[in-house]
Amino acid sequence: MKFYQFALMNLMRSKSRTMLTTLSVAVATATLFVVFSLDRGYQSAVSEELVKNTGIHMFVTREGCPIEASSVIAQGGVSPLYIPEDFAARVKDVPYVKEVMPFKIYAITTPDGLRTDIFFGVTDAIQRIRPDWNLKGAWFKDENSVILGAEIARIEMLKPGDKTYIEHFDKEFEVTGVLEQNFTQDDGFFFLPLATAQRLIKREGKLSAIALHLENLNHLDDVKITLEGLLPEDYFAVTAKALGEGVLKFFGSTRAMMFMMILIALIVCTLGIANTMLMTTVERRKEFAYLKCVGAGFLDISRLIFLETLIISLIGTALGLIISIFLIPGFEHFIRGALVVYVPAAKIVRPGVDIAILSSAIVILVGIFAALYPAVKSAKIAPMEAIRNE
Amino acid sequence: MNNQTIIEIKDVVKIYKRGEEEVHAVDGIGLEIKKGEFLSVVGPSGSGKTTLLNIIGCVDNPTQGTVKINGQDVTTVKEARLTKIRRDAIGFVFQQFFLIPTLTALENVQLPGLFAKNINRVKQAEELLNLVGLNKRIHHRPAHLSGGEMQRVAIARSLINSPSVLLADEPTGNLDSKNAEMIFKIFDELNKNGLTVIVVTHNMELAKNCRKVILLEDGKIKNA
Repeated sequence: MKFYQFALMNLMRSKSRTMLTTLSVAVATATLFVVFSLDRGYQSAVSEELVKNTGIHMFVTREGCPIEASSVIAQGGVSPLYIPEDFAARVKDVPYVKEVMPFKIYAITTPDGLRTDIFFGVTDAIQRIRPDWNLKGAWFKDENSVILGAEIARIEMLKPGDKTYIEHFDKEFEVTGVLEQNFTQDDGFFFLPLATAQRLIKREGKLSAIALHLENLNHLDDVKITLEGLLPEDYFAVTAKALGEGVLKFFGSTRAMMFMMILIALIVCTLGIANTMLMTTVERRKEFAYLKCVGAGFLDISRLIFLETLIISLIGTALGLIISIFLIPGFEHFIRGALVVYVPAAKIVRPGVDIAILSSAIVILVGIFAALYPAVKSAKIAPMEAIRNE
Repeated sequence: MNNQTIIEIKDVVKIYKRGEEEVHAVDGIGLEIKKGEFLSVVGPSGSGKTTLLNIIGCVDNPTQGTVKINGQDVTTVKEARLTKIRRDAIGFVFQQFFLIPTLTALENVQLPGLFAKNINRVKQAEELLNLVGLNKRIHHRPAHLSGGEMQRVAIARSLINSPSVLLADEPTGNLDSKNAEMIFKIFDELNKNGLTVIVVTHNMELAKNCRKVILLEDGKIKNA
């Protein structure tokens, strides 16, 4: 028999109590794992959607609020404010601006209500702006052309040359091209010629925003200052980075609540372990006394308590991680509905091995901390005291 | 038995406080126990038998006096050293068997060896269980053993670290006469093999099986 086997056997004495304590550890681990996954996932998704991999350095928009602006710019959110198309020509000549892409973006829910399709009216500037835009097939042939993101093409089982009927517009389009998957929002988009996109929703000559790609990011401030001088007061030149940061700032309150959840889960976990181990100390008082009579020292008894805690923590964290894997899809769905801030289209709960290790480590450390007092209390039991109490 | 003194007690006094009252549980006892002795300590309840045994076993400190085990004064050493003495030099058997309910007989016997980091503890535990006649019950848990069997497991457990002295406090208190006799027979066998055995009992008949009997009354030795 090894020391850990002895600890394990001790835990088997009160199976229901051990199980409940293990469950409290599992709940704490699952909470940490899911919340950390959401925290990282949300930040990454916002960054990917608004900043990285878009090739866009700056937006000209009518929306001053970052949440509204992000919704309109990236997800086709509805807004009464628009930018006249001729503004695109006005910003084109601003020094250091390399590419200008006026666009119209809007979202349409499918008739069955299960899916929201995003239509992105673009000009050919997008081919030069996007860093990894690999088109299989061809650019738009005419106003009835559509280019599909990789995921949409896969779901609809379409390839270049196929026809697709979009019920909402009662119109048939020819798929001229399909994008190679690049794991960005583009994978889920329907790309239309700008004029077609505007006409389909009766917004001819009106833009959601103008995207700018600069020659050199060192001139970002210069371009912003020039644009602010050029544009009317109710127009905003917003860098992609500032937009992302603005969204994340709004996410801060949600984040604070999430971390409060973690704190509560950890307190519950700590109390659960401390309670179990203190009960152990009381119930096994005479036994510890006897063990000291036969040569167990302070370190042996405290080691035993810590080992028992470690076993509960390890099983609990493993269980918590398994539970989390099953919970994450449901949690993603729930949080999308519950979040009042901007919700990126990409996955916002992104678990990873590093998060699993971090969550487990925190819970195990908390467990060991919770066992500290019971361990010292048990190890300090005088052999004589307990025997005399007989 | 040889002439080597294994335990030497000089003027030992143990005073407990019971409220304002001072109780002299052990009152000026002096005793020398030679290696290989088989000694019983008898006396009425409250005479100080168990207190004396606990002092000899280094689980209690005397208020006054000195106790030497294998020549070392244990009244002045630190707890860590006492732990080592209890582990290596002394084997304990109690009236309550103190067996761990979730462990088998074999695992229970190994337990003190675990703390002593005794690498041969499994083999030794098997041999000891064989010695006390439980070779066919080694994988049974305490709930499936009789009182006599549990006490025999406890005896085997007390011997795992090859102690110099075996201390037994009312080891037959929870047993019927047949099992009680069997336990004393085991003690006798162990003693014949050279182990020093000290038994506290209130059973005079069983005490007579020992080579030497000490009668305690009011914390004092009445005869030896």
